[in-house]
Amino acid sequence: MEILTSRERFNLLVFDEVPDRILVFPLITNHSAYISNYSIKDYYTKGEILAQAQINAYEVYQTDFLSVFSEVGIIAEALGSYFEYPEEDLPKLKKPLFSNLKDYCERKLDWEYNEGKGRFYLYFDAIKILYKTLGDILPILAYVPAPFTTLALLFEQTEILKEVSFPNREKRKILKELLSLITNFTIQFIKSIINYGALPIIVDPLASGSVISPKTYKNFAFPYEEKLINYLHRYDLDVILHICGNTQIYLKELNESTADLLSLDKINLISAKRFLGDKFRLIGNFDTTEILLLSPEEIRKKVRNLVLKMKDNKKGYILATGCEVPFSTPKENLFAFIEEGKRWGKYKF
Amino acid sequence: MRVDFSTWNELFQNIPERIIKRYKYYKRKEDWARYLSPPQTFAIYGMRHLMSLKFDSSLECLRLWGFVFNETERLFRAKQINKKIIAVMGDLGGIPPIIYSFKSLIGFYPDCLWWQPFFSENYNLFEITAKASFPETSCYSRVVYATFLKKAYFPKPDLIIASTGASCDDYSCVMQKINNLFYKNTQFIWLEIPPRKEKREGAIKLLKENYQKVAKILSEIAEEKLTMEKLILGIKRVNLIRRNYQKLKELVGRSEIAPLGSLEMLLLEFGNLHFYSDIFEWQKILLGILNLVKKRIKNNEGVLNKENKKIVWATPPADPLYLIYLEDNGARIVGSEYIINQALQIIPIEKYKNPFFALAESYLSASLIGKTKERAELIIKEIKKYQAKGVIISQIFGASHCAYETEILKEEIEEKARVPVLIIDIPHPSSEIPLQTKTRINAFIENL
Amino acid sequence: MRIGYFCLYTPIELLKALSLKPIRLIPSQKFDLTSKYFRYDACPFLKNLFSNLINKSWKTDGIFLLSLCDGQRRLGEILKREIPNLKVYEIYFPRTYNFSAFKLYYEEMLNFIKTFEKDLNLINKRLKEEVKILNQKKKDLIKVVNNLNFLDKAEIIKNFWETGEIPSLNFLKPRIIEKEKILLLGSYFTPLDWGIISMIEKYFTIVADSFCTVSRGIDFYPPVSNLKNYLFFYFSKIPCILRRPNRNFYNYLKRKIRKYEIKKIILYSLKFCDNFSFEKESLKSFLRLPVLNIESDYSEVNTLQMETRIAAFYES
Repeated sequence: MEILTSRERFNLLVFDEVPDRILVFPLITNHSAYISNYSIKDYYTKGEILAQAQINAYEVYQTDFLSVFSEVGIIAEALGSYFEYPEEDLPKLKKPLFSNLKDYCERKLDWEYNEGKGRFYLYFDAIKILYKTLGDILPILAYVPAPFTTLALLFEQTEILKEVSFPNREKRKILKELLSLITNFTIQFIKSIINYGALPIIVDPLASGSVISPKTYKNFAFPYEEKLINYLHRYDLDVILHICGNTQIYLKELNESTADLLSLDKINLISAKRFLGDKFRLIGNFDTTEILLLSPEEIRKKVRNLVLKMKDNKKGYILATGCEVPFSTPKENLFAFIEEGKRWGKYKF
Repeated sequence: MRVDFSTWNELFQNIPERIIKRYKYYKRKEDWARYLSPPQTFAIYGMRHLMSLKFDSSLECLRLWGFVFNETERLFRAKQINKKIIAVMGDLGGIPPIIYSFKSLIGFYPDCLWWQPFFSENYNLFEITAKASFPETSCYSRVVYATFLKKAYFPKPDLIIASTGASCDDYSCVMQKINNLFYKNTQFIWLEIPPRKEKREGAIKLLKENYQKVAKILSEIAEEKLTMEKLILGIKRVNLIRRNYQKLKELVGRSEIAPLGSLEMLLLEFGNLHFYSDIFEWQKILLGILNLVKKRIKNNEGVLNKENKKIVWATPPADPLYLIYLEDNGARIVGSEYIINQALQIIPIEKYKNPFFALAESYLSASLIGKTKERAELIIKEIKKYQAKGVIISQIFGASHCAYETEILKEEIEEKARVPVLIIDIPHPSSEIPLQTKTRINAFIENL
Repeated sequence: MRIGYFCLYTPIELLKALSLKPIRLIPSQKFDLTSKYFRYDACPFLKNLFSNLINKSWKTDGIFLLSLCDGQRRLGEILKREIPNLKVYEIYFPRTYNFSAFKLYYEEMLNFIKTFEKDLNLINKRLKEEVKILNQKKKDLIKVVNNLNFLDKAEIIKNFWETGEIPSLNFLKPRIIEKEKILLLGSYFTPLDWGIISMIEKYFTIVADSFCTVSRGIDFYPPVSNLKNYLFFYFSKIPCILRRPNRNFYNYLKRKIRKYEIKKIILYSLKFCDNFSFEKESLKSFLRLPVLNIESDYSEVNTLQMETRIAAFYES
């Protein structure tokens, strides 16, 4: 039995205190369904299944956070994009709400919020169960897609990416108006999540450097991420911003973020530490392909290297995978990741 | 108005940013010193019980809740800005007036963390004490040992002061165990609590010498000379708080409609102990609530039904849900005896040249250091003052004072105040009150 | 005047110097009758002491109470309600080693003395005599009980406190150490607890104890000196687990462990007696020996379970 619960450990981290060890957070989402033998469809359509899968994953792996997440379309779906639910895969965007900006201008967006929209129930049901079951000892993270990611899922993706990359003045105005509406809607969703007891983590995978340019990020992603962060800061919550893919090219823009914890994916985290580490608690970034494919021994070696180089980050460090743990990752690999992280992540306490 | 958890989330949306950023502790300007957060913030960080409670919907009370629940972070921040942290245990109100006479010292009562398992609905702290072989048949205050072990609820104190003697055994044992943890690397001093007897001079002298000894050590830690002027100023500040609390309690107790709920009143009463680690900010919060109550009384506004029956509550319920349940079911708490009478009395500095004597005399009013009959008199005084129709005594299993005093209290109250007494046990942390206890409370209120 | 007492810190020599007749209250019987003022988790010893007092197990006119534990401090108020004709003398005794606290204790003792005798010189004189006599008796008693088995020792010491008599060594069988040597310690040990001894002695030989009703009661000798020095000895020299800090008590145990080459410890405490039951881990860590904790409330329901635990401890 460790002396601190994950909650106490996380609290110390956000109070700028050194806990007993680094927090260990492989982003276990639908992998929890895999180890529980639940179908993926049940996992992303039934809150009680999602919660039970997370509880199972906690029992197996003893990680420091619980995750409530299906896929990044949750808000776009609630706003009207149509997703199909394959039996053995994540929801797929079948028909976006709008085909292009013109279509949006003609039909407008019904952004009135209520908790019954789309699959919001999935989050709320899962959070309620997790909060009641393990909420006393574990922080519950609910992944909330940032407005830019939602925007991309309300349209045909190639269309909208073209629009944001080369907008004229008029389109820029329309896009900003739309992003503001999405932001307001997202804030309502965040408000509900907070009320059920989970800490929202903002994810913006489609704002990745692999998808958009720093300029586009600065114009259309960053300001709306900031609005969500500001909203969360009203509550004095510690905000985690997670951006998938490669963010190396807009490190400068990221440094402007007011998030408190930065979760990064494909980036040299050790060099990012020099640039971002005085301001942010860094989270990351074990390669998710490697966690799937490497042997436990190779994983141990790499985790040890990462932890030893990151654990002295000025504002603190959380060992995590760069993105979601792949569905069928072997348990042994995660055991190796977690054990090694806990072993080398100990602080003088 | 009393609102539930979700309603506060809605109300919070209307609070402008500038107000949220206005309230900061330790007179700091930095953003980390903010504390005006709704119950949701603390629920997200594990205070699960908040979801079942009801809260006053005023900004003044939001400030109170935010301030109280922010204390753990505040203590860590205090250490980070080079304040010296003094853990005071067992005396419940005697030492803080001295501590807060120094600029760089922050005093707090780890004792208050006995609420932690109830607010978080969690057994982990009990599991830690069980691992250390503490008997399950001892008071909930045993969790304080676990909080010391965990180092996650307050920073490492620069000094630990433990008081024992005419006090309860369980906490004396807890303090001894904490002493064993720290005897090598933290300054730890034991103080004696004398009993209150008819002849008081000897006890006053003993307490005065205690306080002088403490002041000397604190002076060394703070690297600051404690002049009599400074101490008197410190005591006056504490007296102002105690006086304002007394006024508040009287106003709330005597008003026709309850202008404030009992849970807020309980938090306010316990604020007299160590001002939730920031005396200046606490002073303002208390004053804000006092003004709010005056306004409500003037406007004939209340938070409960006028018909709610008046009750005095004795011994603090470890679980706050009981107070809410009582109010939801037709009662209202007008008076209380939460075993911290020593923290509620005005320190008589005008009476003595030497303020240490004044501190000593004030301490001799402590709830638990005299005969049970005397504690019963405190309760009876509350009953008469506020015309209460009944008394509820909450007991803690294993608490040494409860084992010997409850029946005497009941007998004295029933005989001298002629009101019925209900005795209830507060069980381990849970999200619900046991059905049997609910039924007993309902029947008691109905029959008043 | 016959005055009952039970706490080891009771200044018996002084009571005698005041021409009082101190009787140590070590109950041998258990009565069902108890007071409504005791809740179910009150100290089993105090509850039973009360029952014995109300059943007149001792002929006593008054009782001398100290404030070492919360139960004892609160007992006076209950006795006054339940047995109004019993004179109750409640004396404050410090829990800490704070010298200011000693001064208060000393003051209270002076007041107590003055209710019986105003002439302090006379008391000082008589006190020296009484100390000399009792010290000598205790020394004689130690010679007799030193090598006896634990139960004989406990019985003889009990009788000594009740009657002042010391039996002849000739009639007693010396203890044979043939099993693993243990130290036994715990709350106020009375004949009602003697049943546990045969269980323990099936597996161990009790070579040392720290009960205030057995060895600790005769291990300390107050100085033949004036009243203040005499009371200061009680205040500062006699170890008890209830004092804060309780390191002196641990040092006392350490000496016993060294002297008797003890290998294991059994902590026999009364249910709800936090003062002992909280100490199990500290005993282990300070004394670095295995510790078994047995709890009793004078009922016999757990006898079999207790024996199993003792057997397991023996095998461990």
